[in-house]
Amino acid sequence: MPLTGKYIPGNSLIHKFDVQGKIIVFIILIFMTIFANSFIGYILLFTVLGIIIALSKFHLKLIFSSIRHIWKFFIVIFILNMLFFNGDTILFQWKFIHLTKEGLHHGITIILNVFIILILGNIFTLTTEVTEMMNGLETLLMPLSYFKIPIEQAVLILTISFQFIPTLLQESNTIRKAQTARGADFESKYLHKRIMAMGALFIPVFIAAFKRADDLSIAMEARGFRDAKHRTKKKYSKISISGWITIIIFLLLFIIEIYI
Amino acid sequence: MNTLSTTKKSIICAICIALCYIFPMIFHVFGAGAIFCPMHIPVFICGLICGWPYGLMCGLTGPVISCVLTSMPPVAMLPSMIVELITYGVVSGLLITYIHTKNTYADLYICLITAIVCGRILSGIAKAVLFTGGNYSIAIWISSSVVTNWPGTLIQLIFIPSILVGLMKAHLIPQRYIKKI
Repeated sequence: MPLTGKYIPGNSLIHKFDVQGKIIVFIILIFMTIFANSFIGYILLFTVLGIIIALSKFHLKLIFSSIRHIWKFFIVIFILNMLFFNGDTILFQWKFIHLTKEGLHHGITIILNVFIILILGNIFTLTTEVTEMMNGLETLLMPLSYFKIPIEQAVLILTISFQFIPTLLQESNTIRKAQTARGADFESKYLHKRIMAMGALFIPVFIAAFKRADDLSIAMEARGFRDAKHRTKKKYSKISISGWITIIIFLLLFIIEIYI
Repeated sequence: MNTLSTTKKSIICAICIALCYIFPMIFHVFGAGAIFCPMHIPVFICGLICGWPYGLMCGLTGPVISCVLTSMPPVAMLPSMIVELITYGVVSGLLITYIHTKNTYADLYICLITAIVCGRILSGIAKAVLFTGGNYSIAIWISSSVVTNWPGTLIQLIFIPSILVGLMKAHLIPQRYIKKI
């Protein structure tokens, strides 16, 4: 199972870095990945990724464990992109399948991009608590409240959804096993049987999830919660000088990568 | 579906966002991911129960969270999927507010079918104009949105009304039409 929402406490530089700065740097790195279109650009990206992994002080096995579960998906994506991408330099052709130099390049690019973003997402969730992440996101998105967008409510919704993920995942797996024991065939070769089996999963999962939602809303309203806008927090964080310096460095790296 | 408090609507939206992440994980285990479109169902449920702002939120953040945490959908498919799911959430949320045929199933099917058609069309336009740089045609759109995904569309049309009616019968969401005694 991928490392989802699993914060591991630590005292590395990445753990101590400002959460708003971490979010901004994470977004810059995603853009760097998307806009990387040369060999030197990817060398730069992997160097930065290597430094971040080293600074996080996590074992490589922990960081790459989510890749192990989806390596087949990588292979499928690579083959589909490589064989069905239109290009000029044909390396191999058989009926409707044609392997081109541009297709090969495109397949490798997609795989590398997905790999890098997945590793970055892992490191981000491993080094940042969910509540801190949401507080940081709320602070960063606060200017949007001038356009009447309810940022506090949106962040509250995201926080609650992250908190519900492990509970609902466990509940879904329990219901799936229970329905399998009752004869639901999720892996049948007949489409209509698989569709009927899904019904045996969807409806109980939704009812169980909505019961939890009902209980939570009653508990929140009983404690006087009415509106996310007027909530107060114990601590209000902001980006430190070192955070700003790091952001500027990454922005410069992004600009350098575009011009390489 | 319009007498829920803001707190309850927020929590239902949060649940639906979490399910946008969970269902693809479960269904990919059975190899039933891409064609059965499991992520679309929570977005429809959110829009139909809570209204268009929450449907928009669910359609926007559900696929992003799923992509960041499990790379399903892949980054290349994410923008078009966001456009499609936002359309589902907004259109279904808007229509359920204004359509009152006095029959719950009729209301739900009108909203669902209209939202599915609008979502597929807008997603196709977004791919053609913005995301594929001209390497897109109506034939590709029909192949990807209609032919490949027909099991997913069938599942949405069968199960979404059933889920909503089930939730109404369990008194977890308000009845759409109260029967007069």
